[in-house]
Amino acid sequence: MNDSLRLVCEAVDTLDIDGIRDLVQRCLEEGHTPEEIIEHGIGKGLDLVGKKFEAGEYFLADLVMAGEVVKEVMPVLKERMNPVDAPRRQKVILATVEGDIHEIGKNIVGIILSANGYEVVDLGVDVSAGRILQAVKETGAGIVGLSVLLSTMVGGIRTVVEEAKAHGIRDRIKIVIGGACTSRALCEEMGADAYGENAMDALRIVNGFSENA
Amino acid sequence: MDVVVLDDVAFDVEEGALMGLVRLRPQGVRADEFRAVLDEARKVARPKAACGIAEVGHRGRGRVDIGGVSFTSRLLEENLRDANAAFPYIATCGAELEEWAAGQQGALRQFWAENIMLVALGCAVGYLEGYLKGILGVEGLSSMNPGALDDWPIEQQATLFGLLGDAARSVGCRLAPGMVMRPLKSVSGIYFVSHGGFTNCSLCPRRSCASRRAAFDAALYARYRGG
Ligand code: B12
Ligand code: SF4
Repeated sequence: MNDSLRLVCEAVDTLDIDGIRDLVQRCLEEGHTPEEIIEHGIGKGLDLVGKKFEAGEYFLADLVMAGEVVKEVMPVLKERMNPVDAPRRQKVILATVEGDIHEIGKNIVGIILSANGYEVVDLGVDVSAGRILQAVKETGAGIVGLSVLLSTMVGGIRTVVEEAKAHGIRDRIKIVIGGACTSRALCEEMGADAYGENAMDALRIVNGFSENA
Repeated sequence: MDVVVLDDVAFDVEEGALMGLVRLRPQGVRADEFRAVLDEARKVARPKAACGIAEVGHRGRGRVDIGGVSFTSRLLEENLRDANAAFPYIATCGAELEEWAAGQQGALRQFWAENIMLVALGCAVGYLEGYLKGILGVEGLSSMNPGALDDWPIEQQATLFGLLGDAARSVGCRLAPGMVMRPLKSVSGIYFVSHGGFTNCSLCPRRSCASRRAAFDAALYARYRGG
């Protein structure tokens, strides 16, 4: 890889929010297109961040910071990008089910998905099935991610599944579940489509859904 | 039951430590913005806790009376076997801070606000524990929380809030119908003096928990799970 692009990649990986602007500027001056910088610099850097997160070296705060590092330079890049080349982003709805307030895991999933080009609509915590389905209708999202940590609240998943059927939109959406008290068996029991053990798993699943869409 | 309301908990937070937590460098790009946010938070933060000093009454068949209210949990009953008193409590980051956090715009500031609220909740819990250890003159305090283990289900939050009703209101904490506490950064439970150092962890089957403080005890778990 070209040196300047490698430095951008490194800056994302090491969360260097202070240095990234100048490095991206240098790439542009050297004639790299925004698309190249995004793919070979920023994208690769985010991959490394994802790997470190998976290995337990990085935590939520590091992911948030990586997101900020990228945000720091996106306006400059977008300005120079050909609008037709900008990829259209799939929408994913995320929510912690009704009766549960734990959000740290869901937020991590949201950051990983956003960093990988998905448009995440985060409805927050203690969200009713009704609100989730309303958001599906309003946004046209095809994927719903549900987080549950309180074992007593897992029934919230079934409620979303059943209400989606009642609204006649069950076939139109994929429902992926996660959170420390969920499992593959629970996913089957509740009639959801997939179970993700962690945020990188969530990304693999969502990528799979998008490819088959 | 006597009730103690601790509404003068200091929001004791060390700027450097908190900046480390949210991965900011002291001289870096967002550092000043963060300091301004933290200063605002310091002005509004009022972490609080309320706690009852309750007599432990009748016990038996998986029930135990605390402050005249009957709780259903075999484990709680067992843990309070030799106790005369127990300390039902609520600790919260405080409604003031939650309201302030709701006004923070953008993902980064929201993230900072989340961390600030959790630190404030930590202050309230720490202060309450220190207070109880002080008046009781003990080192070892254990806690059980409704919803943490199958043996003491989340629905028992309603019983706990029934017992602590006025005290809960005085710290601005309420239980919504789905058993969710508001402010969200709140915890509830019952403290008791434990010489053996009970922790939920020995009965919590969560495999990959980074915060585990005791090994999972499968035999004990089976005892409380089964009939
Ligand atoms: C932090 C925490 C809190 C914080 C919440 C902070 C927040 N903003 O979320 C506070 C202190 C407020 C809290 C309160 C309570 N908590 Co709490 N809490 C936890 C704790 C310690 C960590 C959870 C966490 O953030 N983990 C870190 C993240 C990264 O992990 P994760 O959520 O599992 O997410 C990963 C994966 O699961 C997956 N994932 C998550 N979501 C999704 C979604 C999708 C779609 C996919 C694919 C993947 C995925 O990816 C994530 C990243 O890899 C857990 C213990 C534990 N070890 O889980 C207890 C725990 C969840 N809490 C528990 C309880 C009972 C409560 C209370 C009810 C206790 C009480 N009586 O006060 C209260 C409720 C408060 C209220 N307002 O009503 C219990 C639940 C027990 C059970 N069997 O159900 C636990 C297990 C602790 C325990 N054993 O007692 N809690
Ligand atoms: S093992 Fe983890 S989740 Fe379970 S009680 Fe202990 S700290 Fe909480």
